Amino acid sequence: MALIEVQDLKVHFKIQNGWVKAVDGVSFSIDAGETMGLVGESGCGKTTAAYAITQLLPPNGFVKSGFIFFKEPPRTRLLRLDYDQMLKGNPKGREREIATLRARLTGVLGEKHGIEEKIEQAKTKGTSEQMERLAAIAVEAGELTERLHALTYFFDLLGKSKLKDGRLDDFNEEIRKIRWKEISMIFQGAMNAFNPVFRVGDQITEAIQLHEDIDDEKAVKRAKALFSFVGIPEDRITNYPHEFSGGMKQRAMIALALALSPKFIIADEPTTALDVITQDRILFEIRKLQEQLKMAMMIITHDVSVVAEVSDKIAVMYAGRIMEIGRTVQVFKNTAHPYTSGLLGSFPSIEGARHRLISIPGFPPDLVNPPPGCPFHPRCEYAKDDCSKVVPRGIELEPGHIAYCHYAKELQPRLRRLGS
Amino acid sequence: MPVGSDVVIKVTSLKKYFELSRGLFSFEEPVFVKAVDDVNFEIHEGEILGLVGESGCGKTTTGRLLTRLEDPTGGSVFFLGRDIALLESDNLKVFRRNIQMVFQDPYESLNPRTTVLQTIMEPLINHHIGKTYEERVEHVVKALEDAGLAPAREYLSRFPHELSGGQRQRVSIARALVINPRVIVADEPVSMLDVSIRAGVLNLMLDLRDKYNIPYLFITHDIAVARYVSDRLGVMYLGRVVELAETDKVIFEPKHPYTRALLSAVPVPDPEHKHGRIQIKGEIPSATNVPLGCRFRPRCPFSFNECGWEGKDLAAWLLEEENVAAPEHPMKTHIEEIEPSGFSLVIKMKEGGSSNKVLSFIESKVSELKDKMPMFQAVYAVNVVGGSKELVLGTKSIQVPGEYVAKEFLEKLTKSVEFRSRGHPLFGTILDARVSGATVAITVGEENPQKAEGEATKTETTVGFLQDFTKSLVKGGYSEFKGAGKMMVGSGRVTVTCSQAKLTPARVAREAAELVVKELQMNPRSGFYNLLLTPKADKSSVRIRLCCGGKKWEAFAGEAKGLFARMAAEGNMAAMGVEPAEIKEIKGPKESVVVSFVHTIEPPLIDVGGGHMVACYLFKAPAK
Repeated sequence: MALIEVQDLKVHFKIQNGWVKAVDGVSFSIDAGETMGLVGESGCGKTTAAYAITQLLPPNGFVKSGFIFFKEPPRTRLLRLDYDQMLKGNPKGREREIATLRARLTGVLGEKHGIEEKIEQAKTKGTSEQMERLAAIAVEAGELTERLHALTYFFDLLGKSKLKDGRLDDFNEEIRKIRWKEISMIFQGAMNAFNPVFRVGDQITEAIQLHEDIDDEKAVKRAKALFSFVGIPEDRITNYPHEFSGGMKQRAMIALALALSPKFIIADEPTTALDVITQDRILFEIRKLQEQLKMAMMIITHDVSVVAEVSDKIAVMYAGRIMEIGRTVQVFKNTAHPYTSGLLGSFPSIEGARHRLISIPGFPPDLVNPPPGCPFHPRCEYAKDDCSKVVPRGIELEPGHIAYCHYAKELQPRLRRLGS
Repeated sequence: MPVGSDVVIKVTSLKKYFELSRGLFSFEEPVFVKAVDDVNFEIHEGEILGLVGESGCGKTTTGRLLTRLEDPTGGSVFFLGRDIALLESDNLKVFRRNIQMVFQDPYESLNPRTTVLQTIMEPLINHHIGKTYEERVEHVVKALEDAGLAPAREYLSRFPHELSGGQRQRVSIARALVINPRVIVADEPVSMLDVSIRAGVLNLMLDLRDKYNIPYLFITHDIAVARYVSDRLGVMYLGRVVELAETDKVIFEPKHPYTRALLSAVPVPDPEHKHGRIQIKGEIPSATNVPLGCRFRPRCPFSFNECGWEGKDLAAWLLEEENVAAPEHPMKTHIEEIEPSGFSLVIKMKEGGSSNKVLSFIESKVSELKDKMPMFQAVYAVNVVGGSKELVLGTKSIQVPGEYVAKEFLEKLTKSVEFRSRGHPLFGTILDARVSGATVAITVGEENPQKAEGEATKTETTVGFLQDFTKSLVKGGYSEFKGAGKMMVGSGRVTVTCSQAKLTPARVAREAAELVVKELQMNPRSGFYNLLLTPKADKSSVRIRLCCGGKKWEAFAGEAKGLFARMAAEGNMAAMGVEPAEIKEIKGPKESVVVSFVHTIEPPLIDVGGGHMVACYLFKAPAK
């Protein structure tokens, strides 16, 4: 079941001459213990999506719409989907429903209070009738609350801190509790992610002690355990960042992200600046985490081969939208979107025969004025008239494998893919 | 592969050491970063040579040495048979025109204030290509079209910020192409580009090679990219090429353990791909402190006894695996300090510690682990040394006559510059060089009378070269050649007159230490083969320590005396400045245990069959 669900997320940046539509309607979900790779070229909005989840957007970033449901109980999730289906495009209906539910809940809770008071006054245990009624009320109240939560999108992370104009309140108390404790992040370029004037160990214990009320000794012990988990000698927690090599900084960054045993980790280009051998070790470390700690992960990268190594599922982004999403094997072997096919075709490999790479003509669009319809149509060799007019809806080719292309079904057998 | 005439670039034992800054008042030995350390390769006409390696392995420095953006510390780069280090003025300009570079970051390598036209036209103006403005514009348009920017005229007036990353890199390529270079050095040309654009630029470079037959040196950290573009592939590790062969041979039949580990770590864009992983230990060592023997040995999973083990390795094993510093270890009470010294390890005793106990401990470990760890197979001897003794060879300053300096000069000249090799600019120019008295007479001319053009220029080049050569010798500490700068130019003759000079005691000590290493320590016929600690040369003495039992000291003193007497008789002036050996008591612990390993030189890059070059002792050249 989904640990995190992103629905129709739109993040736009305000700049001098308009709005950069960095993320423009992105939906995906990640289950507990699952790794998703978010792949795309630079500037396709993959990092912005991650910053929207951790709510670390720069001041000119505005969340235009969308929801991020984190750790929503499964029943609420189903109810929400039901309501969304039922009340689609009917905000008044939704308001009415909310009002009815609220009234019912107050009524029920009022009755509960009455009964409890009576029992209090009688100073007895309460009759069996009264007890039965109370139990029934508890069940009903629970159900009503669930429905209310579903209707009001209670579990939406953004709902807690979104200001009126769509900006996020970075210092919102609730978000600060969740960030790092529940959702943490391995930042792009670990080289610069640590403060150079503090010891690495101190930066980790600081994060631990901000969230948990434990003494220094225990925090240091935890930091040491984290270091040995990621494969750095324990005594090096007293080192400064410059005393670490690139690979060690990256490991320390992973240790920092793990410090509070979060449920969900976002790794933003975790291996991009590293050498092949170090990269291989870090990927191994990431897989180990996955197996031992069963946490959900989102790996953001431009390198298709890295994703192939570590992730269970993959979402391909282009110009702020998802083009194709599915299990890694589905996307790699049964590619259904021309962009994915182009991306895979332009990657050289050390395996198999050497054949000419096929590059995608043209270059990525300007996100201030993205092309109408499918954003990929100006570069797509299969584009037809309606591609430039209608934004494609997702076509589900197999359970869980969705391609956002009008002609996904027709194109799927014809596209170049791995091994052909 | 025969050395064909199609060799465009030839690199022979190229070295580049960068000196680390040490602060103003530091009088310690200088520390060097050995960025490039003995690199050899050739680039043939129309060939793309890929150079891969991890960051810091020296691949970029190699590229910069090739284009003479850096001057080498040693070795040479030959461009069409001419040593580029010796080019001057006009020749240098011609060279610069013939070798062009494409840099990594197209966002920084183009001037943001000049248009595409100005950027590409600048090399044309500098090299006086094209007579009129219109003609030059034609050249620019053609280069842009070659670089895949069509219609070219639309791009002429654009500024870099108006171009995408891929287009900027194409402009860089056009700028390199516009003056028809003979070689292009491309340093990570696609690593800053987006994936979908990268393939286009790579294809462009391949197409241009096919069209103009221009060879490339293609430097990259991405092995998949290197495999895609290159015909031959070199793998660099810590300043050295460890494997060099045709690309598919390196990719599919890698031989060097480092190449194998590197390839097994490359991610493959196929979710069902299974790796056969080769794990290597630790991290890349610092280039200031390169391991002796094979430089990959400390990390190598296949290392064996011949790899050249050194004291450092055993020290690491003792401290990390055996953990002798732990309080519960039986040796803790005996061992004071562990000090690696080249191929030996000195284990110093504590006050009251028993050296025999440590000796038997090490010996038992050696015999126990001999079959399990190759390091112990490489142990040559374990000895107890009277730690408070040292053999001191005093050195004095000696006057050397001009004759001697002249002889040394000739030897240095023949040794360092193979002007008898075809590649050298002085090839065929110096007909003869001999010593007569205090002068070196060099006959300059042309063997082939048909080609005898301008003898005067030839003597001129020779004189220029010799002057530079002398300067570099003096700079390298050979102060006796200071007086060798006087050159007389006759018809077809250059005479170098050397004057009497003084060898400082320090120079003598340096020379004597080298002799001891060469003749006693590394010579299997010597009685003290592998039994010395690295001799230390200081201002007026050489200090040597033996790593064998007490009685041998006298014998060694005798042997050293014999060696220097023999060398002096052979006319080695430095040997004359060495005084008879003296055994001195020095401060320090009473006794120490010394473990010595077999001295090993670095594995050379050899052809193991079919042009597959590997620098690893696991592979031997095929028997003929």
